[in-house]
Amino acid sequence: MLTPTEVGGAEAAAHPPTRRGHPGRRVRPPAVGNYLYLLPALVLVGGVVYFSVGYTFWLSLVEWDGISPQVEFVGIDNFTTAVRDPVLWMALKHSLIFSVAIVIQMAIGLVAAVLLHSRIHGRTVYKVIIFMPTMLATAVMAPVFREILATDGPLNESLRAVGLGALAQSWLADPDLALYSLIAINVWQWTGLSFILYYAGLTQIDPEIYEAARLDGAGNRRILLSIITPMMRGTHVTLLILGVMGVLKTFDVVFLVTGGGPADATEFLPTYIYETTITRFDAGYGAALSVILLLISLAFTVWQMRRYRMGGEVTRV
Amino acid sequence: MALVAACGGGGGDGGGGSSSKTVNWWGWAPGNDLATKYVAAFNKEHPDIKVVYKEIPYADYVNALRLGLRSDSGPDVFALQPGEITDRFGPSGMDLTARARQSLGADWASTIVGESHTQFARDGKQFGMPVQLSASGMVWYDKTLFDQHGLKPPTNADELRKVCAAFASLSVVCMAQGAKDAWANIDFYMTLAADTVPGAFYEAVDGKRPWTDPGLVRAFELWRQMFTEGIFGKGSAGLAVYPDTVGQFANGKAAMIMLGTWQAGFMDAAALKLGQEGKFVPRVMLPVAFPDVNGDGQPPKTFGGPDYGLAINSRSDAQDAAWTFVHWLSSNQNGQNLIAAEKFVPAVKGVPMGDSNLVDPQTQKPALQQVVDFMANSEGYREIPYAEIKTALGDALAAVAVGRQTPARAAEAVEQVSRGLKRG
Repeated sequence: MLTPTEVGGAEAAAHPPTRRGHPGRRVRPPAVGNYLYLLPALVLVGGVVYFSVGYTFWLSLVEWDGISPQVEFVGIDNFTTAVRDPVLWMALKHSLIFSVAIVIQMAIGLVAAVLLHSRIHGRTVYKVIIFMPTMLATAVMAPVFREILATDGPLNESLRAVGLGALAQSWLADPDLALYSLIAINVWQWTGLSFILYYAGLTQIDPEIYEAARLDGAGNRRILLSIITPMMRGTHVTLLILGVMGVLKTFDVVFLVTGGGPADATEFLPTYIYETTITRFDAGYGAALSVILLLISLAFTVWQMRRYRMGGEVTRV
Repeated sequence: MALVAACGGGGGDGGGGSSSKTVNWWGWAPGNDLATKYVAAFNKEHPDIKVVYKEIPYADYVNALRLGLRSDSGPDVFALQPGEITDRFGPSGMDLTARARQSLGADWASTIVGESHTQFARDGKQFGMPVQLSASGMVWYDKTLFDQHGLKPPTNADELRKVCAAFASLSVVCMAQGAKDAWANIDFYMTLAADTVPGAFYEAVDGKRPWTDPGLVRAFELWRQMFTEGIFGKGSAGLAVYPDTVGQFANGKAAMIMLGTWQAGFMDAAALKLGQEGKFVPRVMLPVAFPDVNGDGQPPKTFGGPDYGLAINSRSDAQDAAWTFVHWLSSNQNGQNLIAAEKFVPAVKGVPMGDSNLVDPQTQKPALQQVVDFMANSEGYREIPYAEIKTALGDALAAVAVGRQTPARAAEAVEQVSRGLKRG
């Protein structure tokens, strides 16, 4: 049963006792009714996020095709299978290699931001050109890249036209090249995001710092490496986190451009999960792979929280 | 909204709800253009029933159907393919046996070509009615291109190599293969296996013969040679059949393609025009047996069954209207005539293939009979009934294609999966 004071808890919370001139009174805990305000968020987060995680974890312990009513509990069998599954390790290796794209797009984005931050003619046009790929849906650009990178596509045709026919390759059909072709597409698509964040970051640097550096005899290269790069640390970290999370979730570009092939040469964990669950009718194993992906993401999040302390430099751009 | 109206009140009892006259039909086949034609013809006879077709690409179909059949906004009628898809989704459909008996008579099954309806039956229940049949393991070739360069379609391995060398010098792909698609690779492998050691493939699927059998390993070796000897075009491993290699073939960039009877539309001027870029070139495409690559003088037999069938969702509240439509398209003379007119092999006996709109009627009319014969003489199914083997074989063929596995190692990998499989 609520006491009159507790019923008025919301008001009390809005006007802390110390401000009402009762320095000696004990601060009361919020009334039970106040917790009701949290309910919608709790239901949403608990029902959508944590329930799904729990359900996926349960599924990872069963053998189930995802359709029939027959579900068989198999304990940790799906996980022991996963540990021995070469495709899983291959997919993780691909994610690691794909992370190279993050560094490349960050470097290009930073250089482009620095160049366009100076007074060059037509910089608005350049900004649009660099940022536009980020706005494009992968579903739109994937067929275009499939066409461009086809064996008889425009890229190889152009190479042959300028006498570089020896460089023409089966960009998407060669298992040794397909992953790097995807990296190139990814760099093209996401450099715009790096650019825009670095550009925003550059506007926060006091111009007097550049002037002081110039007075001390620093050239452009020196300013880029010794002033801009260190001062953009928060942006680097933000982009790194976004990039790694993006790599772990990579699905659309792979699914639409190579389908994970040829011969699993571009398989990533999310595409493998989809293939296992949907095409192979193995929802239990697919869930086990999802749990593994979740644990990897969680480990990375914990690491970055410890490393950079949430709310600090991480979010500052 | 129509989707909800049709299925919302089904209640999941499968008890023959029939209030709605709106039928929602999902399938990867026959595609929007043909579905519109079929529905228009159906509506001339049944104007009170509204059929809404939703085309879902084959790659997305399983996922869409999985979700659709578990919700109240799924299809009333859905396409089934023999094998795994029927195993998984058939039981979500009505048993059509009583309806078929009532509409078509007690001997309804005898009207269907090659008892193909049995591929949609499980545990004595008829979950789907075959609409059209198809056989794979044959080749389509571009006669216009062959004639232009004084070449003839190859009948054996030597001729295949010579023809391909000639086309290579002309920068034309000899045989287009969409090796990004596991199903296309499996079709090709089944054809090679049917040539090297007839019947062994099915024994291996049933676990009665190891995949490491020399004949089946030989088929893997031949598959690899298709890539290394330039029979397939460069970059085949990155191409899908639809639209990549079918486009190559329709546009004269490839001389041959190993697809089945379902591609008889290559002979139809309107269909060919749709597949071509730029100005229409009336290419004369013809079917021919796959070359005898093992040198025994016999080309491999084709294999096939129903191309697709139609099932009725047991949760549908438009079951009567749905059956009227399914029955019309799969078993009615008018519906089947329409299928045949589009140059698909009809499921019902005695329906002739349509011969209108051929690019070159004189050459292609006899070829239509060849298509029917490829179907009639086919031996064995096309859809592997075990998803695990299908996946393992698809993976093995992809790995061999790009040289990441030797043929022997690939055969061992499939055998390993086969040995661990619980067969029903």
